[in-house]
Amino acid sequence: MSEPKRWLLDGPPAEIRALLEHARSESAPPRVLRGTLVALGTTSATTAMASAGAAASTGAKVSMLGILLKWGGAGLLAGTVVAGGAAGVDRLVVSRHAVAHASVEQAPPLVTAANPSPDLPRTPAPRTTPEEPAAAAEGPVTGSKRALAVSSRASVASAARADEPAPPRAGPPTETASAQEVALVDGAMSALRAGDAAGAARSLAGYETRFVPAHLEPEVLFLRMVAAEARGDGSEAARNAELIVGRYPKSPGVGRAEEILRVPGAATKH
Amino acid sequence: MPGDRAEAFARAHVDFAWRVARRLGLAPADADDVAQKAMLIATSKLDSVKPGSEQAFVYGTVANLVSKVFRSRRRHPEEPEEAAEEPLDHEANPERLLEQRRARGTLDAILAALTPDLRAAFVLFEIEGLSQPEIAEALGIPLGTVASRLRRAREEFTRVAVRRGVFSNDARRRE
Repeated sequence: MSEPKRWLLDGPPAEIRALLEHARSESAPPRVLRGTLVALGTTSATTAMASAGAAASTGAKVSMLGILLKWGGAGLLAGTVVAGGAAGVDRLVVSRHAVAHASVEQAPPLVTAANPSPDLPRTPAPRTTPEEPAAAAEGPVTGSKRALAVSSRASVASAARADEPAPPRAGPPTETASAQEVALVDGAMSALRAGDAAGAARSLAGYETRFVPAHLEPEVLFLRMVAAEARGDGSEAARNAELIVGRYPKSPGVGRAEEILRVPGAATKH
Repeated sequence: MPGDRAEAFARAHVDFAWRVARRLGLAPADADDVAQKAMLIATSKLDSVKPGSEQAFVYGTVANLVSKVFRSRRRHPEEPEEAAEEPLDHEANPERLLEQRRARGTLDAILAALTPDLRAAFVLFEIEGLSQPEIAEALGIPLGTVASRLRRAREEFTRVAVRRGVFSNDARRRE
């Protein structure tokens, strides 16, 4: 069967061609690829994060960021241990993503999901090899759009079953962090690196109410503490330090928090 | 290295995944999430993706994720859509930006008027440039069905575009 000529090449009025050309030229925002690469833990992502850290290697703010980077590199984020114990800075924000990726690979073979929503055409899972059953490639979309991007081992594995109900929107904290949460933290870090502590603090305002559960709270508290200290707001820095010490006493950032709390004039530790 | 292969795959297909998610009706923020997740899923299964079927595989992944978003939205209708944050050409002037927004809105509105089956065939052929056999594989339908859906999609697209005043009937007759 011969292919019909595409409209872009031959056919409709210029107005439609313009629409199609425009649609064709669209691309994903850079953060999508960046987030993907970081989640994959690829070389490029590692390099990007490392150079970002290196770029921030001057001044007092930098030393605090360095701590943050080491914190992430240590692989401990809210109790998440990065598999493999890889040192470095690439795991800073998305250590959970790295775990999620590993989980995807460890998930059982995915089965066919050929029954999508009536909003969409019936889509067979793409066939992989002729002898292999079609593989469904879908992951958990929780009730919350926020929890869509990446998920824990359990949720990815459970999502392998095509029509299984999505997990409930809220619930006890899991190791899941959304792309938006990661982007938020990433943006705050960038602001800090650029010396915009106030901007970093503003961007993190209301984080806990926007993201429930707040998967990256340890990171957010730490960034708030760093930003407050950079602004010379000792009481705000101490307040966040107290929260870190109180809520995440085993986190790598607790040392820095305790240092801040030892500063004369800082709030008394609980 | 597996990581390099995954990275190359993600770089090659992330825009496709994102555009498909958008054209299937997701808001930009949701499309971001779906594209990223689709890349993570697809790269975790690279070894089982048949060479030459990468786009079909990515399409199937995205379509399934999009359908889940819609299902989730029906279960939680109180959830507002994420605020639209359209990626724009930041080097463009204000007129150009306005034109971009208008074009996107128009295209999305027209596509939304198509049935899901027709929309998928149209998007994959006219926007993403897949061949008919590739579309047949992606949608799991016979080649002849692809051709008929594409023909009907074009007719419907044109009809809706005229109704919305994208162009006039005179222009349509010249087609």
